[in-house]
Amino acid sequence: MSLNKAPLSPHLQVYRLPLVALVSISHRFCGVVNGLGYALFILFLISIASGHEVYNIGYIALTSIAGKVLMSLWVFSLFLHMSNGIRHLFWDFGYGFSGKSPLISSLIVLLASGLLTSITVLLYL
Amino acid sequence: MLHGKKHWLYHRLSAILLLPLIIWILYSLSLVPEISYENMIIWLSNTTNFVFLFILIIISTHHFQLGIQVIFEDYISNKKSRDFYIKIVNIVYYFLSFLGLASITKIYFGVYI
Repeated sequence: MSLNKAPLSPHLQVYRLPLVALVSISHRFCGVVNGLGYALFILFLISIASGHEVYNIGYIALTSIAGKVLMSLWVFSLFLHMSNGIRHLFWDFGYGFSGKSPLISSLIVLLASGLLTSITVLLYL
Repeated sequence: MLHGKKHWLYHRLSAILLLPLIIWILYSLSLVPEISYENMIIWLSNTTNFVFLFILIIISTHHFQLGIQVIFEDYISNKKSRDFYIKIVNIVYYFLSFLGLASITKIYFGVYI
């Protein structure tokens, strides 16, 4: 019997990602979300430049409950990408790879982004 | 399109510059009592806000373009379509940043048509 010696890559549909991998892929996902939020922010700036009537459409959308929830999620996405980005800078200099460091820093990233989002939401309330 | 060493460096440099800018804009906008049309005009007529927002738009545009390039390079194996999609995103985001910069410049200098 011949055995296929090539290592099998994880089947992502049935494989529960470890926390470190989950935070890692979230970084990319949030980067894309931030880019889409950027496009909406540009639309917001255009609406201000377009005058009162156009701005009011954006204003109603932004101050609605759905608008506020989406804004909070966007802020969370920004802070997750930011916190994890700082971790990436440490990695770039070779720190934080050994032992439990990646797991601990993943938890710090999640905690920091949750805390920063809460502070920001409170500032806007 | 940037490649290799320069891409890596510009991605990191833009990230470091975005750190204070993002915190600044979130804090500064939270000080606006209500995001009414009049208050937003006042906020954008402030020179510090105008300059920082101008820089923020330029840097975040580049940071996103560099980031999306990495994602496309990782997930699109066909070189031709990969380069095509990277170019499309680059053009769209240059256009968006131009619109944003034009808008805030118009408001700052009080040009009303």
